[in-house]
Amino acid sequence: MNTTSERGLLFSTDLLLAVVILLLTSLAGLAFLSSLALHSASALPAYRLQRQGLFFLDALVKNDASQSFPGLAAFDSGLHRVTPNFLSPAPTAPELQGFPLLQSLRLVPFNGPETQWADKPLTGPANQASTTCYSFERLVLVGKEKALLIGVFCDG
Amino acid sequence: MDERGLYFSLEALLGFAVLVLVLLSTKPAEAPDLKPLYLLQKQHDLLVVWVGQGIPSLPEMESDFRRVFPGFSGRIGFNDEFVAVGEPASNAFTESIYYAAPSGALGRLSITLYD
Repeated sequence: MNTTSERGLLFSTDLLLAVVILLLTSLAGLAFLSSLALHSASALPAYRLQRQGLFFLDALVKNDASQSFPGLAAFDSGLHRVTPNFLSPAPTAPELQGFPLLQSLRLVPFNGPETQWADKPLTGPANQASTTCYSFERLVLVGKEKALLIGVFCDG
Repeated sequence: MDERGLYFSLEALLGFAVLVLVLLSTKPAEAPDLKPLYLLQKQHDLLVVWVGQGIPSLPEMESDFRRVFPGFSGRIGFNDEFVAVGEPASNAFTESIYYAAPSGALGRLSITLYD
């Protein structure tokens, strides 16, 4: 036969156990969400660097110099339009101010000397081994000569 | 009544264990990868340049392919002709372009890239 105090003790223990389980469940959920957020945050800078590099080079080969954004494509007056991937035989250096992630930009013809438009020293932390860089290439036609437009983008 | 409470706690404990197992087995989503877009852009570049400069010979196309995609294998299609570059693989990206030949006929160029 149970006394009131025994039932009370059993109830308290049961309640304590339920509260502990509730807290542990909440903790597990929060820990999972935290790890998810940290994982996403660590992957974001690399993604942002890749995206800026890809889209910057894409804009270079598709815009001409008359646009507000830097561009290297030639304007065909006969067609009355900019010709993506086709550069004039002697392309001029694009305006590269305001693009701090751009480390270097080179135009390397298949047969001929390369042209370097940008080559900045790394300005990031002293331990430059931690700097992340991505290199992207685009094929263009310079006059009648095929060339690779190579851009290197770094986060430091 | 007390026994029901204990059973409830045991069930909650079991539920907690299941929740932990589910959370541990869930992998966070993969970081977005722009590599497929980059490869697609380069395939497009090759096709546009080939059409723009006048269709080159198949050996020249193969040479351009190796230069633009070093280390990759693929296949170049020119109408009904195909040139294999390296060994095929299961994961393939294909990009193609149609153009009007000087004769007025419709031509087709394609590049398949194996990754």
